[in-house]
Amino acid sequence: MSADSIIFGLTAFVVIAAAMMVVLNRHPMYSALYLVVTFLGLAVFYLQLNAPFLAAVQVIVYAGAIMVLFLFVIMLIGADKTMAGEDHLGVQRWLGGAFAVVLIGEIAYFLAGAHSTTPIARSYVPLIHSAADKTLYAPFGSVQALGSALFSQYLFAFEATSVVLIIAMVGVVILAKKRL
Amino acid sequence: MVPTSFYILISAVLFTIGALGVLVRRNAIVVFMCIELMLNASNLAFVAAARQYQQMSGQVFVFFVMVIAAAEVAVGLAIIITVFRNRETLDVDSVNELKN
Repeated sequence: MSADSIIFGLTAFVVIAAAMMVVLNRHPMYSALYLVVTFLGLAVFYLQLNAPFLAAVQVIVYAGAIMVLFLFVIMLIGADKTMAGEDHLGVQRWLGGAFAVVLIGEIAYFLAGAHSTTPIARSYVPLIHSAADKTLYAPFGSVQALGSALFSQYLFAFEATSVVLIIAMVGVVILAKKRL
Repeated sequence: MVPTSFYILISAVLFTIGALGVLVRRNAIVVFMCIELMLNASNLAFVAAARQYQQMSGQVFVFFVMVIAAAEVAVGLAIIITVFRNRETLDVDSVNELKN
């Protein structure tokens, strides 16, 4: 029982339990808080998977910005009250749960027979656009490796996301106006 | 070292829980949160695969998914607020006619 496995087990339990509480809880406020717990647990997973930069970005962007936005909206439009009204689903709710269990069982069955090798603990990836005579290497998952791939091989996608963000901002401002 | 298939299994479980939440819940904001849960499940699968094959492309893709998810949350919440402003309800079952 290495420390790696113990941390994985604990974090997996926390993440799955919090995700279940997101779906099962009656108050949207509590669902949002449980979702924050899920995101923090996923950040621990990213740390275990040699992705420290993504773990930090997960905490900053997902738990720190997106969920704060959710909580603002929940508190602004008063969604923290439970919803009244008739329930159209009835027995389909339980059928959905049963089918979800079946789906997870199928996935686990196929994954159990899958050929999964133990991955390499630590390796170095070559940086793209190194000098002509010498190839530079950076540890896998480090900021240098991520930046090197992001600004060379995926440069167009990087620039495109800036356009996407501008479009999203303009769209939100227009949607929020009371009168155009 | 934990095998990669364990992480893929966790990702699949999270995705199924998110899909269940989208189908079962009536509150529009909770449905939206379950969509975010599904996106994070796929992020976990990407990072696990990136470590398995030692390719940085997996982590770069997660980076882009996070950016797009942030933009999508902003626009989606603006839409939900607009719907709430016009219909006075957050129940996705009752917003079932196009004409106001």
